[in-house]
Amino acid sequence: MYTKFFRSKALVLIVCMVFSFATVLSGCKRSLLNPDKPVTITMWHNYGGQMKILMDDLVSEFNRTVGEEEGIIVSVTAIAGSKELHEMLVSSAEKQPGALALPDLTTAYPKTAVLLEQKNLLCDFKEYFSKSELEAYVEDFVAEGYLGDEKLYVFPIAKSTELLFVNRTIFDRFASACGFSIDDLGTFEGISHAATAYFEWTDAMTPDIEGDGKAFFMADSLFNQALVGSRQLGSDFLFETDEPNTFELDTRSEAFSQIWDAYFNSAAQGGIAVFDGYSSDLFKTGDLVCAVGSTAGVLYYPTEVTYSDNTQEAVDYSYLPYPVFEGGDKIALQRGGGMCITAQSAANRLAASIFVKWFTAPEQNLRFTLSSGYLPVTSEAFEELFETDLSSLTGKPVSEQLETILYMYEEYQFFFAPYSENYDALQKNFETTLRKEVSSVRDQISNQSGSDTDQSFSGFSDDVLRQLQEGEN
Amino acid sequence: MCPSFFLKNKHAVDPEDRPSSPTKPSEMIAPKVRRPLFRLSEMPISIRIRFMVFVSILVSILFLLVIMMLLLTGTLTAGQKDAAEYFSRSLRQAKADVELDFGKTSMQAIEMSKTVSSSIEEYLSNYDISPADLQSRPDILEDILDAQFERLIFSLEKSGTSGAFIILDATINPNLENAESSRSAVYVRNMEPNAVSSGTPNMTMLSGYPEIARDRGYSLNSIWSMEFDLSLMPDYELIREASIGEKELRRIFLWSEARPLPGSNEDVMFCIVPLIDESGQFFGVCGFEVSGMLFKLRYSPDTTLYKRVTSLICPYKENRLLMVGKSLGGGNDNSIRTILSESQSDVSETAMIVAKNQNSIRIYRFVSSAQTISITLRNRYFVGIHDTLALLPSDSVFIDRSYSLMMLMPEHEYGSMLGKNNFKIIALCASFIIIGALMAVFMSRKFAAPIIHDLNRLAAAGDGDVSADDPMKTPEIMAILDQIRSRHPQKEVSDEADVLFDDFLSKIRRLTPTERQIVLRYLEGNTTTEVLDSMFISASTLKTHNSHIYTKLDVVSRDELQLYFRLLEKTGGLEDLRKSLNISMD
Repeated sequence: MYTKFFRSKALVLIVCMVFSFATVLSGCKRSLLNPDKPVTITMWHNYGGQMKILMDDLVSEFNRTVGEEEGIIVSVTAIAGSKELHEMLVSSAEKQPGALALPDLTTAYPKTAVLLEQKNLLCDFKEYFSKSELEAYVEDFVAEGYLGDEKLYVFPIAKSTELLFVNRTIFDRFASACGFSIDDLGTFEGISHAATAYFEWTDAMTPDIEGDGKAFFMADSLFNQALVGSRQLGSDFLFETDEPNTFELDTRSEAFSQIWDAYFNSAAQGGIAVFDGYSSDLFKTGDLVCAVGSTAGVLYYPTEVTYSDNTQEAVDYSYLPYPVFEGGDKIALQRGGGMCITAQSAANRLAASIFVKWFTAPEQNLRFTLSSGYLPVTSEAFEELFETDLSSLTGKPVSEQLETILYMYEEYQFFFAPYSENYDALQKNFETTLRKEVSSVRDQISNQSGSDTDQSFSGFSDDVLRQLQEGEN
Repeated sequence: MCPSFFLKNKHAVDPEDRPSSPTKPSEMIAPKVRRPLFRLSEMPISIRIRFMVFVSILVSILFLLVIMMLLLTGTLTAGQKDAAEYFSRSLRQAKADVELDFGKTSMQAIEMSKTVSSSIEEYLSNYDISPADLQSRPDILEDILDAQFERLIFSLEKSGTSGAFIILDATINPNLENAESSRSAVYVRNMEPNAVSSGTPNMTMLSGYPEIARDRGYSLNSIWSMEFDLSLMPDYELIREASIGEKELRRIFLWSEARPLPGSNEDVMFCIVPLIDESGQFFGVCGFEVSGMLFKLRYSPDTTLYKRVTSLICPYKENRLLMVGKSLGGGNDNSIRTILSESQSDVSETAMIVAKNQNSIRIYRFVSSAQTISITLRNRYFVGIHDTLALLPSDSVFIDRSYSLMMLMPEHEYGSMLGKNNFKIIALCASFIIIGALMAVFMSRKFAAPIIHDLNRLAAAGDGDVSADDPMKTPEIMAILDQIRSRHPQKEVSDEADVLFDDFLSKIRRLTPTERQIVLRYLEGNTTTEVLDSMFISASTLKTHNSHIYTKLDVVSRDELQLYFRLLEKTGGLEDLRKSLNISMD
């Protein structure tokens, strides 16, 4: 009996050994990810400058911790501004000659995601996030990533809005000389008025040279200004056409007329900058006093202005709420891109989703946003901002800006821009046309001598507006 | 009677009594070893254990043979060899690529210097000033650089590098506090040198007059400055001094150490060529930039098999110091630079040296010339190889400046990788040993079982024969049994013998008490005299009793009676006979 027992035991042991042995040798995969054979996922993002250091730190930390446990290595292979990144992604998606291969993961705005989605290059985040996991995020932020159907293509990682950046150092000099106050910048009409006055004030500093006054104000996106302004005035700048998923611009509404009036004359004169770039560029050289731009760009505004003789002046900033058109409601745009998974293999998609989960977890998300000027995307982190003394957590520009943003979230309504296939084209066309026409008018005005400027502006304004309206037809 | 010589040799001979000169192999073994072995071999050890030991030894020998084969074929060291080959191949490839690309960039920088110098000199001839007197006309610096911008952009795009610059030896405002280190320049960076963009290239101005960029639709870099800060280019003065009296540009260009751009954590290396006018006067520098990102994209090693490998280009000093704190790196994350920044050491003075050579692979450790190395770095080792790069011509003025290319992997990764590679072999060997041991146990039991079974049956049979119901299983034992049987044939206890025995016992009952006593005494082996004395009868009476006994038991003589007694003794029936005689007597 003992022998039988022993025999059976030995048999079981041998079977177990053989099984273990076979398993070891077979190298069978139990899951898509294997810490012993990590997958490398490539990532593109638009966090340059100071934010690059932060992103590098976070990516390194992930690779060292969760990445090592799960078998994931994140490798950043491109960093570019959002506009350039959009072009790169479109080139890659269309496989244009010389374009780089699409990365596995990229930051992108919805307008880029729409184009990628048309080519079936995007992954639905709902395959990797459960309902309860998604509920931890601010609902509105998540909603923006759906692109019109039930699939979540753009996952919120950091949100932003727009506000008014003011170089107080220069503004205070102007304000005390010309009798303006910071409150005048609460409306676009007030800004326009100040812009005209500033141009004249700076022009007068060089009496020998006529018309060399400086620009006072600029909106990083004229399109966004029109979009938000229309909403503030109870209208819509975009309307859907009969063609599905296609918008057109409404430049004939009363709201747009008010927007136009607050813009054109100052722009034609030179008080509002006509510049195909970011306002932070002009701030670097003291060629702008205030601008409406994304809160995500706070770190791009220089701490010193460099003048043409290479002298430098330290700058103080004020971060004011987004201006409102007279008679309009306090409404602002919700901005900020997210991340899109463009990986094509199942393992890489899973790896990318794990990185996004970690990156947007409250701890990491707060670290990123507090250092960059973005807003966190989880409800937990977002509410923590309201309860925290921000100046103790982060540097001056970001903390002061955050105070304004939190004020706006209490006082303003927010909306995110609807996206369509032709959104990008509409935006480019509108802004390019406007810049071109206004520049042309400037040249014409500067060539005129002794004529009634107001009358000229009025005439030009009608002409250009008519061109815009006809162009939309 | 056994012959006496047989008796003498009946017992084993003590080995110590053997003659001193060995004549047998066993005699060659030292007595100290031989004696215990001898005693061991003489010890009574069960068949099963002997066989188990035998099988175990066999398995061990087979295992050692397998190990030897693995060693001879290099299978056990395959992981190390593969890694060494990988490093060697990767380094060779990367070195070829780096030297070719950097060489081309150097040539293009020299070419750019010639054209820019010539162009600027021609431009300045309109103002009747020489390039060396630029500082006397800060008002025209912007125009000079503006005129070179398209050339710079063209050169940048052609070179495929991440940046290009022209730095004039003059500043727009010599009255400023930092004028000594400030130089008028135009420096453009290509943020995506690897991409061929159908639209506007992703270029920004890092240094220069803003209008030069804006007029052409270029934006200012996030860390833009009006002029170039020479603290970013310590080699500027070296180049200036080297260019005195030297017109051959190929001898006086150099590649700088990697440094971070101000306000960012991005490291760049410069290829710097002097701007020299016709008279040999230095008036600035120009060249290209290679960024860390570009190096990573172009020269990262293949990480398909080995994930955490880094390539590095760094200065090489004193023939042993690999200045990794001034390097550009490629490969996956956890690069050297990341580790250095996390260690919070003085990065710029941190280097690596070869701690150990291990076949074709080296083990590196950190050292620092500036201060005590941090604990974080002290315990970090890397494995890989390095080789010097030929970035400068052999007759370069800066020939002492050496560069190295490294391929590295964290040591714990390397060890883990080798361990995993050998894990299957180790698991195989372990399984082999365990299975062999189990088989030894199992087989020894199987082997010994029938032998023990047969021996047990023999023991149980005693003087008798084994039962036919449970046949023997071992032919050898069966053969021995047959031999014993043939030497000492036994009468089989057959049914007839039983009948005979029973018949004899039944006849015993016919005997009178006196007759049984006499039979009992015969059974005890008493002689006739002893019977007469013990029973106090006469010889004639005994004779009469004997006759009656013989008749009743149906034997003819006392000898035949004795034969019955021996038969009964052999068959174990003697006791029954005694009982019968005693019971009968009772």
